Amino acid sequence: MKQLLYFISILLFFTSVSLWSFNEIGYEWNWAGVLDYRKKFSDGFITTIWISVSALSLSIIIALMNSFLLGSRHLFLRTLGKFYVELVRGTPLLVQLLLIFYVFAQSFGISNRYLVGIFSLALFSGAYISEIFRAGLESIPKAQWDAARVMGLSEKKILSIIIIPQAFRVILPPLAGQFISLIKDSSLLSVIAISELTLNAQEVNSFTYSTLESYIPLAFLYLLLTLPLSQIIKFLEKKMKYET
Amino acid sequence: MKLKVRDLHFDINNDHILNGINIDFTDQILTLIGPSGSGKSTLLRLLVALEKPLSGTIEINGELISSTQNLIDFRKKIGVIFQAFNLFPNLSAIENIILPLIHVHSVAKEVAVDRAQNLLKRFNLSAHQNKKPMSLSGGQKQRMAIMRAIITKPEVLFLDEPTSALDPEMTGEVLELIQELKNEKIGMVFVTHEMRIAKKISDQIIFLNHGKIIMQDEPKNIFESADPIIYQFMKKVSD
Amino acid sequence: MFKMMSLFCVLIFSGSSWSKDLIVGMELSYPPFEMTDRSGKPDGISVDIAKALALSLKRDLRIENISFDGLIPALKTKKIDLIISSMTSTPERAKSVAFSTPYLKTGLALLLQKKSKIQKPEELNNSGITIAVKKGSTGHLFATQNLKNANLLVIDKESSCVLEVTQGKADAFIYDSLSIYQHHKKHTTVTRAILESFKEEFWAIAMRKNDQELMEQVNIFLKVYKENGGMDRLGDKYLGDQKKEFKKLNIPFYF
Repeated sequence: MKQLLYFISILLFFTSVSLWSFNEIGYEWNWAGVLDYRKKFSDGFITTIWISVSALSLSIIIALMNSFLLGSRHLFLRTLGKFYVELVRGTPLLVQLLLIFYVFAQSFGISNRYLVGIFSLALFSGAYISEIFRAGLESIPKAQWDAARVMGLSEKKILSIIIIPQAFRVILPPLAGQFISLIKDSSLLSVIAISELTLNAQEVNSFTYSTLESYIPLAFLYLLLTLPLSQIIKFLEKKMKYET
Repeated sequence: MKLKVRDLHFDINNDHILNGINIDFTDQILTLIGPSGSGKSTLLRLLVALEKPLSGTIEINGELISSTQNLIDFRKKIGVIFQAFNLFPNLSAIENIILPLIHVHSVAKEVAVDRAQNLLKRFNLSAHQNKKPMSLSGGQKQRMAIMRAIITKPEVLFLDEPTSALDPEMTGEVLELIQELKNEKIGMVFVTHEMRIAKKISDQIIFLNHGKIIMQDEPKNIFESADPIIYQFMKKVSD
Repeated sequence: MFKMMSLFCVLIFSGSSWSKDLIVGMELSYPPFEMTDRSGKPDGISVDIAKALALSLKRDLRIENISFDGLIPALKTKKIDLIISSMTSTPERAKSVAFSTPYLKTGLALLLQKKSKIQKPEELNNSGITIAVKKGSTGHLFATQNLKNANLLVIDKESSCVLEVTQGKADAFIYDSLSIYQHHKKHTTVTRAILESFKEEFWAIAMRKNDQELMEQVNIFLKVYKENGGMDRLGDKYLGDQKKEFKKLNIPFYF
């Protein structure tokens, strides 16, 4: 309750500073022009939501597969997993998107840009998430494995009953950060002409020449997606709280 | 319990931790003592197959342990108690206790819960059964861990310094429980630095030093040994 | 996202400019009009025009490299005094900025995928047709208003628009005649071009609406510069061969 009050007062302060700044630079607002394009915003918003949700789900699957590679007994598979992580983390998403869409997907005859876009985004995010998964698993003390093994539990049961539930709590905060990044990174899909929220806002800007009137709603719409997400994760974290 | 160990060697990074261990034991309780770093905890980890020996064989109740094929079967018949309790923090006390029954021994959940509740009642722990490990005291945690180890009615119980992480007053409640288990006729391999209880409950004691067995004998003979290493050790712990 | 944020920061954290320099905004990615030379200095036809203009106004020249999208907002927030960036004078833009008399006449042209069934610009407005446009260009505006049935790909980079056509992902790319001509020459095996413009366009210099005095000065400068053959000299310097070829092909591209 108290936190909410603080939050609102900080918001009010931030808003008044912004309004003062706009007034100071003599900015002429043109909200009417932007309002004509509200369908562009809602269309883009919906596209951003479903693209993010799909990429998010796919990235978890990719990350799971890659954490198996990273934890494999075979050096070759481990190297493969490491190679993927380093390649993806070390290069800009923009370059990956352009290369995957205009070179790799083209050569395989895949022309659906939404499919390729979601896959590229998931591939990008999956590298980070698999590292988060691995760190989470490694954070569980060896003694937990010992205690479970001497009971006669199978590796599969040790993972599903003991290790993963504990690791889940550890990975939640970095995972939340990664999910929020993914939603924001989806704006880069505009480079392969996917008409998501950011591209549509940019279009509105180029039609109306009202940059801030186009981009301020954009910022709010992203917050509308990311804020509930961090709240959900915070709730989960609280629910799973215990000490190790 | 019958324990037979032959020429057991174990290294960590070329450091000799165990140097040719031979044991023959047929009775209820065998206790391992010795200075810290003598290899007694390592020997216990080898006995329950948490580590692989460099060479040598271990036979418990006539079964060879080193082969991994019957590992799960072997582990069904033992219970292990650790120094740091190793309860699973994501599960409540009773969930910890019924875990091996349900997931290893395929006992129905109602039956398992029933058995666990009887056990908890017997040892006055019922009030804590739904608590997560974080809200239990050290003594309660270790007693819960012992419940988890004995609920499957193991043939042999392995205890690795079960009281060394506890305050003195909590040590008492755990040691009491261990003495009660003696009456249950469960075989035990007991690593400890509590000399009083070692003397009281053991059938035989093994004294280890630098990865070698100095002496294996009845408690009385160990405690009155003239061997200079054992004598020094006993003098130190009795201070 | 980043571009947007940095623009936002620039707008918030810097006050209006006090300097007497003539600040001209352009996007330096459209050779030979706006580009950089090997040392990274602004170069091209628009840069030469800006230099001549500054000289005639007796003011020092400063060129700001701003993405095309951000040029009009930068002008409105007084970050720059003028836009000389191959900007077409359109009624929509004229609502927020004032344009000088045009200094160049050109038109929209089509880069077509060789296999596309399109033969005439009139065939573009069909549901089976995919059209690439550069975001914020007059081609983008034209397509949004007149080609509502076609599937529109709005892309940030000109090079990606061309890629969409050469890879057969788009039927056509709508852009100005000169650029389309150059892209077609680079990809003759997979593309066709319709260079006869289906929509005439005029490039002009943009200013803030209340800068009456500057507007007069700029218009006088353009008139004198044209009469003295300045524009023709620029055409010869930067577009020598193309100019002749364009004349031969009857493509509208005159100063």
